[in-house]
Amino acid sequence: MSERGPKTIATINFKGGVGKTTVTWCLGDVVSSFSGAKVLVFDLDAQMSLTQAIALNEATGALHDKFQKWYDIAIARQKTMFHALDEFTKPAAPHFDFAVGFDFIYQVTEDLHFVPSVEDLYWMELEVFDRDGVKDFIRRLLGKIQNSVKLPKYDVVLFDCPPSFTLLSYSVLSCCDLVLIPVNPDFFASKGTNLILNSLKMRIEPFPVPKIGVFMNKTKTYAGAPTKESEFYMREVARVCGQAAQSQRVQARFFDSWIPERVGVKRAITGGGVPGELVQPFKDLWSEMMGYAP
Amino acid sequence: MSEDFRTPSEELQHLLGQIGDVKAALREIAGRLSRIEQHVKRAFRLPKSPPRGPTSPRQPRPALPPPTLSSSDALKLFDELPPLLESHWREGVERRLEGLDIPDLKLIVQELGAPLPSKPSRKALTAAILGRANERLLLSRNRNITAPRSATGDAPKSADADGTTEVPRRRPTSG
Repeated sequence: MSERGPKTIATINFKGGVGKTTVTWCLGDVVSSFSGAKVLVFDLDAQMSLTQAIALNEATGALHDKFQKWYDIAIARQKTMFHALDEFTKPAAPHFDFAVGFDFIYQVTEDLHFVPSVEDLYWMELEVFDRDGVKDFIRRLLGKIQNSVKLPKYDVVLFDCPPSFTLLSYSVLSCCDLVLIPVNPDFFASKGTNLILNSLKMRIEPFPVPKIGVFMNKTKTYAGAPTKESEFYMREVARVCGQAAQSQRVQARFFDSWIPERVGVKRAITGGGVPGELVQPFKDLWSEMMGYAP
Repeated sequence: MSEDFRTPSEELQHLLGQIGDVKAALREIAGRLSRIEQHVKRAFRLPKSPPRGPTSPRQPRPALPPPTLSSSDALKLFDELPPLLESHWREGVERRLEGLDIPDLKLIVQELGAPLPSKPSRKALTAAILGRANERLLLSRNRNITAPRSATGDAPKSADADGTTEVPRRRPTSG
């Protein structure tokens, strides 16, 4: 981790099914594999898609028992995101007393580490009353991870956010460097961009609005290039980004990089790796992201 | 009007009745003919449908002339449509597209990646372009009713500090 801390990136879109989880995982996998960076991935979605995908992966291979045993121990020792948030929001506790180590963070590979989700995060929304106080939760948790002598210095932290403004996504968006919004070449997924761009600033003030990067995921292609339909939505989403940047005074950019639609990408998590033909597109996306939010 | 009828509607009724009778007779004749045809086919073991005679090769549909617009022209022209749709509704867009020939309309639809109708009529192509123009308007539209007006970048001049607009109070009337 550099002096100023890890690069923090939140993947979000209010529309479900645009590929938030897969994109987060693929970026983590590609960056940790090819750049040698230490990457930490958070699953903040109570639907636990990423957590379960990793468990499924391990159900078919050697890692199954390892993750499942680790996860059971983490729950038994109260070392989950739920417990961390619970500790943070305790009204009586003067300090955020939650030690972090490899009982809280799972090591997928040497350079790719993972904080799983728990179902109980669903109900957290109902129990936590100090919503503004929660805004600082992720910032404080990252501080603990950064300062822990038991953990490596992470270069990149990726957050897989739920498809809504939950307390946790609220907290992440208040402190991350870059908000990454995947869209798809269809009307509803593109509409999600407009919704986030026009509500983000209002929701997370007084914290500064992070840079926002939008890109086309699941791009339909013909002969290796985006179809006219995909190009239409690319132009339209780029236009929406430009309009929001002007009217909301936020930094929003539509990336030139795009990820093609591939059926096999769903197996990137459960099947143990990013499909070969998608490695370069994810590398390109990453380098554009780093050029935008260095 | 014939002298046998008192009013035109009476004559009309009568004619309609006669037409109905003729149609019923024709239906009966057609039914009888079908039965005779089937009987003959069974008797002579003919296939159910008669073999087709030598068919002339299908004439290819006359090719459309090439579009006069370039791809970038088509997209530029499309950019004019959403504001027209907003200000003059559907009719405004239709008027703008009126002067274009089918090949140009087809090119615009293709460039927008909209599904191309199987029979590219003017009506179907215009509808496809209108659909895309409508999508653009909807993608840009944002109605956040809880947001202070200032947050949407169009704060009214009389907005309060909290962003709400003061409603002018009615002056109490005396007497």
